[in-house]
Amino acid sequence: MHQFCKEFRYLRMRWCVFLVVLALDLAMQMEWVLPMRSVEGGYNAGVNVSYEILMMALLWMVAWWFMLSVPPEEGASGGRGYALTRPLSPVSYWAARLLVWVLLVMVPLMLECAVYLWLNGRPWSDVVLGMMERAWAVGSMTLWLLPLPLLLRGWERYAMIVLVVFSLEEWNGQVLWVVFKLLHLVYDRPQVGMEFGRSVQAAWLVGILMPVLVVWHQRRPFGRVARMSAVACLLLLYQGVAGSSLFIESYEKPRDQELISKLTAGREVVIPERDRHFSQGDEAPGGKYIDFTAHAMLAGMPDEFVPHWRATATSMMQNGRVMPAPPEQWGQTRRQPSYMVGYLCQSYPMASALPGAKVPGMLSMDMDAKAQNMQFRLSQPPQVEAPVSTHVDLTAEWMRLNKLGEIPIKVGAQFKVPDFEIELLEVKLNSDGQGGSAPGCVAVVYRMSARCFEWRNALLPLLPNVFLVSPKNRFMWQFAIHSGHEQARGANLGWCHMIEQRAFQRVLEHGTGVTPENLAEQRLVWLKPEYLGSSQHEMEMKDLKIGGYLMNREGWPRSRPATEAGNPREAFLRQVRSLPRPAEGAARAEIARYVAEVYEASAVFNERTHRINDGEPKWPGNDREVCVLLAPFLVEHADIFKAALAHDSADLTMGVMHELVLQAGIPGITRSEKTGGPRYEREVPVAGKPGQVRKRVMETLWLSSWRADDLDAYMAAIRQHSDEPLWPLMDDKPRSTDEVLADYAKSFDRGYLRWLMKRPDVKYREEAERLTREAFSQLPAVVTLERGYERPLYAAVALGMPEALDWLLRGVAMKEDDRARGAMMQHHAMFASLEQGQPDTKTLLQFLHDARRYSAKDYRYDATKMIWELRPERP
Amino acid sequence: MNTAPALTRIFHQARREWLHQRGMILAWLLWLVVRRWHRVHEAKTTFSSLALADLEGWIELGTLLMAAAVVWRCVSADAPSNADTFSLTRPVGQAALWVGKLLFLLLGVVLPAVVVCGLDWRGFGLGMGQWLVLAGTVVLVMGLIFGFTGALTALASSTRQMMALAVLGMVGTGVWLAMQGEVYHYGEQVFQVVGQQHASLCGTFVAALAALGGLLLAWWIATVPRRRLLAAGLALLTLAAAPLIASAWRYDWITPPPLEYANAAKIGIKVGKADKEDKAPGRGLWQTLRLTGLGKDEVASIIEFAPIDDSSVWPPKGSYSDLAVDESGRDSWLHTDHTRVLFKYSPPTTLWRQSIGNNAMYNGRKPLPAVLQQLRLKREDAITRRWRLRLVVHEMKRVATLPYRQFWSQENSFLIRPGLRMEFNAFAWLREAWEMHGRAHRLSAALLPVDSHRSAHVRGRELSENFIFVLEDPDLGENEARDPGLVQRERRFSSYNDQSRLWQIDENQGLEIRLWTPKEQHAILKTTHEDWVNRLNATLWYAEERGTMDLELTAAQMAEVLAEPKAEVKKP
Repeated sequence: MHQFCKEFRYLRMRWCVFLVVLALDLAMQMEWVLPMRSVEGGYNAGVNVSYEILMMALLWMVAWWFMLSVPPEEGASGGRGYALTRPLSPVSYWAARLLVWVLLVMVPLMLECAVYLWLNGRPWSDVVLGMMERAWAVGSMTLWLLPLPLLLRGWERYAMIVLVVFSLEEWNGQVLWVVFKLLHLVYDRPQVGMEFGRSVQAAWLVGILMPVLVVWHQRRPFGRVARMSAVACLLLLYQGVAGSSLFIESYEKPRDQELISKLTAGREVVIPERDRHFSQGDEAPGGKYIDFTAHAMLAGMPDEFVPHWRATATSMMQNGRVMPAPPEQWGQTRRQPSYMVGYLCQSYPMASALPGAKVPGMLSMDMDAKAQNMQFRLSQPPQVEAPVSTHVDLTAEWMRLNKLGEIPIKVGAQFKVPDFEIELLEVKLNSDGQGGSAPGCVAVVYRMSARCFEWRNALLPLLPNVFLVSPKNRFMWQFAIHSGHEQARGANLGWCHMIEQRAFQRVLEHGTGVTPENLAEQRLVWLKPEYLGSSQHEMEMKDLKIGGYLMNREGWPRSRPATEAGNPREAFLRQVRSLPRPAEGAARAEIARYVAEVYEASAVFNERTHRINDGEPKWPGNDREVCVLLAPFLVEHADIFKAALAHDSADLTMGVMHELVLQAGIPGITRSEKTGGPRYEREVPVAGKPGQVRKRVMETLWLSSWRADDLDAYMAAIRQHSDEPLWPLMDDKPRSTDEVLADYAKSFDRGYLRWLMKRPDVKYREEAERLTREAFSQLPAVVTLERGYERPLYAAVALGMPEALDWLLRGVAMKEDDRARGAMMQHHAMFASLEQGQPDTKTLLQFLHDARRYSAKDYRYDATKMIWELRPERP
Repeated sequence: MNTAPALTRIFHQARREWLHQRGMILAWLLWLVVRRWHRVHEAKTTFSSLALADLEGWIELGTLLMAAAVVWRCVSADAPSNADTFSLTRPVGQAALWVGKLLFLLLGVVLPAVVVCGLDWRGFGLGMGQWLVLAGTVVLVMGLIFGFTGALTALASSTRQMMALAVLGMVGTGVWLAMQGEVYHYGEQVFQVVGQQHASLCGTFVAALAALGGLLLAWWIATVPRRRLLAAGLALLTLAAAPLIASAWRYDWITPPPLEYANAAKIGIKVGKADKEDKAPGRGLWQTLRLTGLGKDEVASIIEFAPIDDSSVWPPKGSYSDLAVDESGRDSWLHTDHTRVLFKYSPPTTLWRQSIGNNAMYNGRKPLPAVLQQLRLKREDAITRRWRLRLVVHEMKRVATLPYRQFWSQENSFLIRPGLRMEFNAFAWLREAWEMHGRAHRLSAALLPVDSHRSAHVRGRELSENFIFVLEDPDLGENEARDPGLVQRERRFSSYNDQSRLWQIDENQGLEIRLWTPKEQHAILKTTHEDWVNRLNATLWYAEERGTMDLELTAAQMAEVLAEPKAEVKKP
C-alpha cells in the first residue's frame, strides 16, 4: 500500500489527465460531443476521419503513457533503482504496480463501460458482461505494460507509444500481408473497434514473451536499438497472431452444424448447363488457368438454405495425362469462409430464401439471373477443344436468413428487439444516396444500434442486410448502394450505434407498383445471415469441352461509330469500287487480300443491313454489285470464302454464292420474284421407285456461319451444273422422339415442347412436362431473365403454368413503350405468334398495355393450341 | 589567441558534422533512391502486388522523418539550450556553429534530394525557370523541416523535452485537423474552381516562406544569442501565423488566362443546306450549320449551344454540348470529326475504322430536333431567338509514327509539350486481351505555370489533353483510330496516380488500349499474329487546343438552321 500510495502521489496529475480523456471518450460515445450525422454527400464526400478510432487511439495512448510513467528515482538500474535500496520485496513492489494498473486504469475503464451501457438503457446482464469484457481486454495489456518500463528508458517509452500507434494502424498490416502471402497463409486483420477478441487473445498469448524479454535484458542488457527492435518484433508477432487463423471468435462458430450435416447427407451437386461459365485467366508468374463460375445447388435442399461453394482440391485429365495444378488463387477466401456467405445477400437472388411465410411469386428486382455462388480455378489444358475430365472436392458453407424486424417506409418508424434497435431517420426519393439525383431511386437513412460484445455479438460475423420489400406487388430489392456509415459509436463497449444510408435503385419505376404516394405501404426488412455450418461434396465433369464454353472473340471488327455519315450502303459500294480488283486467275494471296478488304469494309459498314420498326430496312438497297465482283473468285477459291464465312453473318457470302448459282445453269434454279434470289423447285424421280416423282423445293438457298460445310454442297452443284448435290440439304433427317426430347432437355425450345406434347405416347408428354417444371423450379427468382435463362420460363408458359405466366407478365409490364419490340419472344411464348409471322409493333404495344392491366388470372389456357387467351369478359 | 577566420570555422564545423553523420547521410541517399524507385515503379506498373501494400504514404513519412532525424542529430549534438553542451567551451563560436550545421545540411540532405528528384524532371522539355522553381520547392520543403526540427531541438534542453514537444505537436496538429472537419473530396468539386485552388496554393507558398524565415530565425536565436524564450515565442508565432496567412491569401499568380481562338475573326457561319455550286461549303456541325475558315487540321467542338435569354444566365439548363462528362470515368471527348481530319494523311481509298470513347457522340452529333427537345423548346419559339454557339477548336498534330512492333517490344515515351509526356508500356496479354497500359505524365512546378494559357473548361471540368492512336495497315489499306482510354483525372481511379507533392505537379493519368489479334484476317490471309504486328505502323496524334470562341446566330439564321425537313424520296 505504501508503494501504491507513493506511486499514486507521483502519478496523480497524470491520472487526472487520463480521467479527463476517459470522460471525453464517454461523452463522444454518448454523442454528447461530435454527434454522428448522416452522410450528406454520399460515400464520395464522406468524412475521412473516424472520430471513434481517433478517440480510442488517444485514450489508449494516454493509458499507456500513464502506465509507462515511473517515478524518476526508479528509472535507473533496470527501473527499480530506488526500490532496491528500500526494504520492499519485489513481490510487494510488483503488487503495488499491479494495484496501480488495476485501480487507476482498469477499474475506471470498466466503470466507463458500465456507465455507457446503463445510460443506453441496457439490461444489468449486459452491464456486467461489458465490465467483464473490458477487464479481459484491458487485462491483456498487463503483461506488456507492467514490465516495459524495465526495458525502455526515458524518451524511448514515448517513442514506443507513437510507434505502436503507427505500426498497428497501418504499416504492420501491409508487411504481414506480404509475409503471409509468401507463407501461403491467409492474413485477416481484425477490424479496429468492432473485432477485438482475436487481438485480446493474441495480446495475452504474445504478452508472455514480454516478461521473458525483460528478464533476459536484465541478465544480459541490450543496447537501445536491440531493445526497441525487440519490442517492435513482439508487436509484429502480436499482430500476426491476431490476424492468423489461430484464434476463432465465439461468434464465428457454425450455428447448427448438425442440422446441415443431416440435411446435406447423400445429396448431389446440381449445376444446370446454362449456369456453368468458363473463362481464361492468366496470372504472372503462375501461368494460365481456367476460371470456373457457376450457380450450384444441392438436389432437393430447401430454398431457405443458401450455399457458397469453394473448391478444396481440383484435378484434371486430358488424353490420359494429369494436368499441372492451376496457380493459387489469392485473396479469394478470408480467414473464415463464412464471410463469403454474407456477401451473397448483395449479389444472389434471395427471394426464395426469405424467412417466414413464403409469398408466392416474390421476385428480386435488382439481381442478375446469372448469379453465382461457386468459383474456383481449373488447370488450363493444352487443347481447349479436346475433352477433359475433372474431379473437384467441394465445401459448401450454408447460410440462412433470420428476420430481425421490419418497418414501413415512413420517417420515425422503428423496431426494437433485444439485440437490435432501428429507427428510420430520413427517406429521400429519386436520390442515389451519393448527392446526385437518380430517377426511381429510394434512399433511406436509419440509425441502427446493436449488441456487439465479444462473447455475445449480434452484428458479427455477418452484418444484417436491409431489403426493400413490396408485399402487395411481390417485388424485393436487395442491392443497395452503401453510402458508408459516417462512423460508429460504442463499438468496443458492447452496444454500438451507427447511422447508415442505403439507396435502392429502380424502385419508383414503371411496372413496380411502387409510387411516392404508396411508399409508406412498402417495408424495409432487416435480415441477418446466419452461418449454419459446412458440408463436403465431390463433383465430376466428364468429357468436358471447355473450348465450347469460352467466349468467342471471333467476328469482324466493327467501327464504333461509323466514320462516315450518310448512307452506309453507298459508302460500302464506294469503298469496294475503290479497291484494285485482281484479275481472274491472279495468285491466291492477291485474291485473298482483296476478299479480306471487301469483308472488312462489309463489317465497317454493317449498319447498311439494319432494320427499323417492323423489320423495314433502314437503308434500302442490296449488295448485288459487290457480290457480282466477288463471284468469279468463289469457284477457284472457295476455301477463302469458307474461312470468311466462319466469321461472318453469312449475308455477303450467301449473296456471292447466289450470283454463281443463278449463272451456273443448274436445273430447277430460278430467280424468285419475292426475294430476288435463287429458288429451287423441281420434280425428281424417287430412287428405287420407277415412275414415281417427288417435288423438291427450296424457297431460299440458305447459308449460315455455323454450317459452313453447306457451302461445299453449293459449290459442287455449281461446278457440276447439277442439282443433285443440293438434295442432302433439303432432306430432313428424321429424328426420333428420344432425340427431340434430349434436345429439349438442353434447349427448352418451345417448338420442341409443342411437338412433344402432341406425341401419342404419354411417357414423352409426361417427361417433357416434368423437365419443364423442374427447370422452371430451378430458375432464380428475378424479374429479368435473359441470356438463356428465359427459355424454361417461356416453356413453362407454353405448358400452361399460371405461375409462369404471372412471372412473365410482370416482367413485360416493366418494359417501356418504345421497347415494345423487345417483348416479341414473350408474346410468342404466350400466343405462339411467330408461327404466323412476326407480330407488328402495334400488336406488341397492346401486349405491353395488357400486361400492365391484367394478371395471370385474366387469361385462360387453351391446352390444344398451347396458347393463352384473354378471357372474353375482359375488354 | 586569434580565432580562425569565420569561413574556416564554418567549414571545420561542416566537416565535423559529416564525420559525425556520414552513416546517416549515406542512409538518406539510399532512402532517396528507394523512394524514387518506388515512385517510378508505382507509376509504370500495372496490377502491381507492391501497390497493394500501399506504401506511398509511409515512404513519404519516412522521408520526412529521416530528414528530421538528421537535423535533430545535428542540432542536438550541440544543443544550445543545454548549458553543458561541449561546443560552448570551444572557440568555434555559435554563429559559425550554426552556419556550419546549416551548410552541412544543405550539402548532405538538400543537395542529394534535389539531385535524386531532379532525375525525374528530365525528359519533360522543362526550361531553366521550371528547373529552378522545382529545385526551389525541394529546398523549401527541406528548409521547413530544418527550421521546424532545428528550432524544436534547439529549444529543448534534453531529448525527453524534445520528444514531448514533438508528440504534443503531432497530437495538436491531428486534433486541429480533425476539428477543422478535414474532408477529402473525391468528386469533381475539387476541380471546379481552379482559381480558388491556385490562390490557396499561392497562399501556402507564401505562408511556407514566412514559416521558413521565422523558424530559421528562431533556430538562430536559440543557437547564437541563446535566447530561448524569444526563440520559442517567435517559433510559436510563426506556426500560428502561417496557417492564417495561407487562408487569408487571395492573390493567384498561377492560373493562366484562357486561350481565345486567334483566328476567330476569320470564322464564318453558313446556314441552310449546302449549295452544290458552293465551292467552300464549310465544315458541318450539322447539315444546316457549317463553319468556314477553320485550319485544315482544325476541328471545332461545341462547348455549349443554346438560345440567349438576357434576363437569365447563359447557358440555360438543357444546353447542348459535344463534350458532356462521361459517366464511365473515361476522359474521352474526341469524336468522329477529329478522326475525319486524319483521312487526308492516308490514301483516299483507305478504309477507316474508329473506336472512340465519347459516349455522348457515339451515334454522331445529336440531331437538331433532339437538341430542341433537350432545351424543351419548340421550333416556333427557337427560331425567334438569338442563339450562342460556344466552340473550342483543336488542331490534330502528329506526335510520332513508328513501326507497330516497337509498341510490343519496348516501352515508349513521347514529349507532347513542356511538362507533358505520353508514356506507354509494351503490349502484354492481360485479362484475356492484348493490353497496352500507359499514362499521360504531367510534371512541372505548380507555382510557375508551364503553359501560357489554361485549357478550356467545359461543364466544371478541365478539357485535358487527348490523343488518337492510329493503327495503319498499308498492305490492306486499312486504318483504325483508337481512343487511348485516358481516365478522368477527377474520378481518381486506381490508374490515376497523383504523385504531386507540395508545389510540384506530378500526375500520371492512366490509359489503356485493349485489342485482340484479328483472327478473321489471319483465317483468310493465312497470316500469323507476328505477321500482323510486323506489318502495321502506329501513329500517335495529339489534339492541341487552339482556343475557344463564341459565335452568335440571329433568329433568321436559326430559322434556316432549323429548317423544316422535306420528306425524302427513298431510293429503291
